[in-house]
Amino acid sequence: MEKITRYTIIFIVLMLLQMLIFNNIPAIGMISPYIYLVFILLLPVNMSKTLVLLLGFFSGLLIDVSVNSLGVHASATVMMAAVRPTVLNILAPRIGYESNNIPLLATFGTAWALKYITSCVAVHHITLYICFTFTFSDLGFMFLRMLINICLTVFVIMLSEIFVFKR
Amino acid sequence: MKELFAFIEKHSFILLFLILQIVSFIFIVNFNEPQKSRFGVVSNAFQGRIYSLTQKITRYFYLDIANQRLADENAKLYKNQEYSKFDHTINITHVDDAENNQQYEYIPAKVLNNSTNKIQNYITINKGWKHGIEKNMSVICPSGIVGVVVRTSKNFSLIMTVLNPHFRVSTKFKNSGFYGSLTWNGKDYKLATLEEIPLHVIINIGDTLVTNSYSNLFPSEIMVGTIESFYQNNNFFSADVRLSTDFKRIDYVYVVRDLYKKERENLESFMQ
Repeated sequence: MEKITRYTIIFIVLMLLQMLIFNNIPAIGMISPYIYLVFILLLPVNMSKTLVLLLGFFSGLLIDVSVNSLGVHASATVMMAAVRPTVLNILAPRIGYESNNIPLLATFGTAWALKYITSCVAVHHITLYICFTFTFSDLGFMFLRMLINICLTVFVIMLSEIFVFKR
Repeated sequence: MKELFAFIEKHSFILLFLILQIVSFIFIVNFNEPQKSRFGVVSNAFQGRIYSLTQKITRYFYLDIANQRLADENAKLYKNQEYSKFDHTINITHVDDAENNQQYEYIPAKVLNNSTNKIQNYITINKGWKHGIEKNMSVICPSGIVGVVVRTSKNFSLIMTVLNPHFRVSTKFKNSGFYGSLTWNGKDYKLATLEEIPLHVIINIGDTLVTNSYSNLFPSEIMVGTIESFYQNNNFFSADVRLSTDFKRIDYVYVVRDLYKKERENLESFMQ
């Protein structure tokens, strides 16, 4: 119960942060860090995969409503939520996860967290940019912007995990 | 039903993932202008391709109908062609021997059907009793005699040609004036037989035969053929005659109307 309230608070705070601050950074073009992904990334390892999917969908949809791009973030976040269990499996430590593990930087170390966050965020961003542009023309420029945005998002999420989410 | 639920439960993750992605896709395409227009372009192109493909396939099934329609159209076009029209003009050429001395009139006609290799050969022409053609009129062509009208309809006539065992024409030697009766030999469309030539007649190979007026059929002095060969047959000579008319290439003919025929027939009927 304590966990649920905690996640709810995290969710609300992240959403507000994303909607009110990060979406309004006057960045170049479509570049802006997507901090709200932290919520999906921080869900417990043994959480039901379908529940993660649903949570991803609704959080993405909420962001979509705020930036008026209905479906784009939802699709990207659902994609990320779908690959999250696979990524976790690949990155699993030799002894396996404990039942109530939370994929935190503080628990598994910086290198592990960087791999985990980068792969999840990459999947999210690739889907996101495909949905945004919806075309395969001008792939080079799109790819460049995507890479920059991935770096930015990963950087912000790493910072948040280092300084905010320690437990 | 139980199995269906089991299936859904087993694959709930994948199914949910697909459902959510489809919902997202529908949202993207329906609520975002640039994506909507791009999807519109893509889906239109896709639809267009599918449509053209199905059309390509179904076109084969309508080939029959298309062919039928084309054939009908062709028939209609043929119908309007000049050669499809029946010649209803009644133009008769007069041979002016002298003023008011007209005996023969000529009705030009086109050969529609022709045969040369049967036992009895006939030709069909495109003129009938409407044009003034009657039974027993003689038919000639520029190179010689053709035959006799045996049957007429309103627009057509049937002509018994020289190449018919029932055809018999009275001919004479152009140079000596002796006459004989010509019949077809029944085998070669180029050759006829002249029989019962008296033995005292001097025959040369290459002598020209023309019609005489004894038969009351052809005008006199119409070319018939030339002597190919001759031999003695009992008390008479028989000769093979090379016909001057090429019945394989007969195209236009003239039907001869004899204006004095009735009178002569009436007179000659007294003899019988």
